[in-house]
Amino acid sequence: MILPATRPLEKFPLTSPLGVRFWDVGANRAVPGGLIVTATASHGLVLRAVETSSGAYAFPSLPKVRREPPSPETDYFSSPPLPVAFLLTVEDQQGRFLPAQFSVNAPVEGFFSLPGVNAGWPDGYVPLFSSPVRRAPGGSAVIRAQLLDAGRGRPAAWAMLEAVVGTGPRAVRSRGLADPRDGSVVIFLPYPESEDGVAESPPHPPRNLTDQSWPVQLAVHYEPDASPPFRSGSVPALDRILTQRAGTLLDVLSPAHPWPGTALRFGTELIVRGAGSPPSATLFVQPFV
Amino acid sequence: MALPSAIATVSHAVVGLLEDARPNSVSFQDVRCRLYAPAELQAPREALGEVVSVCAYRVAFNTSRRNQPPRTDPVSGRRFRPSVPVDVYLLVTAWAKDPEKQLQFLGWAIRTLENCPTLPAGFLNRFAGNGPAVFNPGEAVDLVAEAVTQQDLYTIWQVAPTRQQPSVVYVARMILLDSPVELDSAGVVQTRVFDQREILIP
Repeated sequence: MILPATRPLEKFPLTSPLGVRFWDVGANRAVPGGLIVTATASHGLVLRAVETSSGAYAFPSLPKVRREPPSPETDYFSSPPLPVAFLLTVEDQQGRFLPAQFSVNAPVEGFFSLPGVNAGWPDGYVPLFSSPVRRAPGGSAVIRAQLLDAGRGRPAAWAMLEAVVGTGPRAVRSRGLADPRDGSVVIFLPYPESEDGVAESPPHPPRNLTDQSWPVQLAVHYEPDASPPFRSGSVPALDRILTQRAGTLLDVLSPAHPWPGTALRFGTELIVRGAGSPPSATLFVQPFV
Repeated sequence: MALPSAIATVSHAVVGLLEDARPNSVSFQDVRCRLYAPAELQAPREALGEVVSVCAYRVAFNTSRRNQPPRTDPVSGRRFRPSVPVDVYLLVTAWAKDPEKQLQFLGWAIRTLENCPTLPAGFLNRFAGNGPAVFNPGEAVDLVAEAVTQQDLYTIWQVAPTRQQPSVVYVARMILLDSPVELDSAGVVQTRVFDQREILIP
């Protein structure tokens, strides 16, 4: 087929001002899709992102953000328009993740990253934390807890719990966020490698995989100012949640006794309990002061 | 998503799972757990010694998720040819001169495997030798008991028709064999250029 001769009329480049990808902290992989991502402008207009075939969420246009470069020959980001602030809200209709909110100044070159916050996920992703009702990814270890603000007697909403399972270079770590409604938190993480070698010729004592266990250390990051009590629609900023300062986990409230640590056994969900707390699965959290 | 040596690693891991769990009792003190080649069913290494053998007699493509998308490295964004999902069929056989012991060993092996229906990467990689980790940290392999018909079992044992022993079959499902072959990728598009032209009619 011979293409007909053409004469150029004009070239106009169009740029999508904002693209966001999300990282599943529980399964340690990119979120494959199924989210509702919206941007709210300062005057209240709400726009929904388009889910692309690569699993990213794009805003092809945003109010008050120019899409074209000053001239067709100019690169858009060499002379970008003035940034405009938007509030991004993420909800998961499948109930896998807790909702999230964060501020973005558009346009953003490449994928958006939370500024100043990166602990365990690739650059160019925004982390999402598992909802306590989520089904565990196959083969994952599961740690559950219910966190109660020791001073206020209410759920330690949005407290971040960090678990380190195992010791030394084989230790694995992951994080979870407390559901604001009841303070329940779930952490999914891979089982660490066993520190035993391959069994040699007998005799050797039985080492059932189901008998294997690893020490678990938990750390909590909690500031009540960053984590308001749950009301409908009150989701604090994700970057503020992720930068909460370290609090203390208490085993017993009075006299205050730090939580001593426990062990994770293969194939069994670990439900972390406080020794003296009335509902047996509750741990007390003393916020950073 | 695993290296091509995953089939061998999983087979070794099932043997290791049994060997690790061998009870510390008098009746189990001479039992060995071994990975057999199908031909060894006819002439076992430990001829009718006390052995629980694991024999990978069949490797099949998992057709339920055969049409895999290209594998994408989430950190670098690089794309690779799709992983190949395979199922490995393992014949678990108990061998002993005493039939009572033989059945005791088989029962113990079934119970041990049923106690661990999912083998995590941390366990599997123990059996990968000294090379790189075969499975990524978040991966796991499901071990499922397979009900094999008498006819199928008879066919499997055609390699040793006169030595058929009580056996069960387990399937290590959905082992994803990764490809190192990278696909050309144009990267993520943020700006599109619309080139408008007029057609010239001669």
